[in-house]
Amino acid sequence: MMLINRIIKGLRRQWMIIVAIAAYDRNRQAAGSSLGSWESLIGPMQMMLFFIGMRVGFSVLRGSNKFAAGGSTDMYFNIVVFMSTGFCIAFLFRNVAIKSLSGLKLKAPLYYPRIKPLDILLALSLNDMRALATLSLAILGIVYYFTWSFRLDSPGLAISVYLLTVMMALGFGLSVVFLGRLNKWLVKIIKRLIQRIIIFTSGIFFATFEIPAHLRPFITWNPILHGVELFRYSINNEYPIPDISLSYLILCSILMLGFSLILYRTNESLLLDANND
Amino acid sequence: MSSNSFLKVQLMAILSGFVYPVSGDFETFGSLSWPLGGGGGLDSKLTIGQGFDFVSSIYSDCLEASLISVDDFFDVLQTRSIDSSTRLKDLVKEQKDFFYMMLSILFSFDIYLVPSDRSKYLMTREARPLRNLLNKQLSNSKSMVTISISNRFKREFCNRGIVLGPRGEMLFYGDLEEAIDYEQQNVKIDSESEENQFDIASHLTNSDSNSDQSDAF
Repeated sequence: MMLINRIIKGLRRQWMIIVAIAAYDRNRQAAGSSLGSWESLIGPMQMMLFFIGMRVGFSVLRGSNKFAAGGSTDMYFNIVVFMSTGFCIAFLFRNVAIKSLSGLKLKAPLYYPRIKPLDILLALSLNDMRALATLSLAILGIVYYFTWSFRLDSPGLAISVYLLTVMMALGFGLSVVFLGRLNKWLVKIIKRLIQRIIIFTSGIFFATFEIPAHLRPFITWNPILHGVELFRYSINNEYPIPDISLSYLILCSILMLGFSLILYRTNESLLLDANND
Repeated sequence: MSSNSFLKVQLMAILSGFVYPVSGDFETFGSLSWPLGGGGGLDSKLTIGQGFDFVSSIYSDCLEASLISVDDFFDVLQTRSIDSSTRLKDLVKEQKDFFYMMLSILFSFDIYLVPSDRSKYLMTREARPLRNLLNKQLSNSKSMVTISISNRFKREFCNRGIVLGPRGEMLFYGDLEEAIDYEQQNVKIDSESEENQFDIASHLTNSDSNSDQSDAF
């Protein structure tokens, strides 16, 4: 009983530390921006609107229905829902991974001995997770309001996919931080690759079933695509997801997080001065 | 006490968790403070209130056990014209030193760590109220570890002394007065190196530029 109490107390304290660092980071970002506390929401929103605008713009140029996806995805989703579901998963991975990759830009809280580098990474991820979740819920709400067609077939799957993506992003980012200690150019290259590969192979703009079967293996290696497609499937269970599997996403998330935590456990001290990028 | 000031700073840095020991390990029982009065930890863009909220969330158990109330904390700060809405970067140096020291003393730790330069500050006239508050916290069966070179400070706050050789070997451990005598007779202090203070955890600050912005695309 004593052991359980100690574990609960420890977990509660850990959670309080993560929440405090998350608030700290939001406050400092708000202080440095003219948008104040809205900064963390406006940043990703403008990027999401840019992508949606680009996709709708192409549809208009092509002469198809300007309010629809302009392709076969139109049968299952509104274009805004389709794009925002892709964006909120792919950019969740991108933001969390890049923050981890950048080492610890937010170093000051490490002055307090109770704060460990992993707490900071978790707090920053929490902020990204909250911002993107709020954004996607708001967009879904607005679209549902205007189209009056609420649909969320598998909420459990949606939450699981969201959390698995966070786990995978943390694991990936942490692993590469340590690998990057060997060569800082490696980090720079991986960072650039993440920015491009994620945008073009994670299914933000397309659906897997639209890709010819013989070309699918070139993109289905990417676990983020599985996250994006499963997230869309959780909203509409009629959405076809060929070659997409939840077990692949779970496997990638657990393997990456497990591997990175082993690396972290043995090399934690390296993260104290990992800010050489 | 040691003639090797770098060694002392390293010891303080290891106890504070900023540096990992090359070999061996150290264990603490109870709560350990950060180096008292150190200017790290908080972003200069934050207000005093936000900084306080942050630290008090992390050390909530130490705040609950404290003999100084939060109201007293803000009252003492008010005597130096420091308000909860003031930004840290708007404070002048004297106010900053006072705030950081007061923030450290507010929490009730089992072990307080006092670097050499901060002990010097604590013995100044401006820091007299802080000295009294620190004594109050220490009266509750707390411990303090310091690498201070000020004998006046040591006599006011300490009762035991350790004298280390230049390579870290223990030369003497015992009563403070005896330790001071031993140091004066056997250890040659290089006053010049003592003046060269090493800034503990000076790299634990945030740059003003928001680097995440450059990562967009």
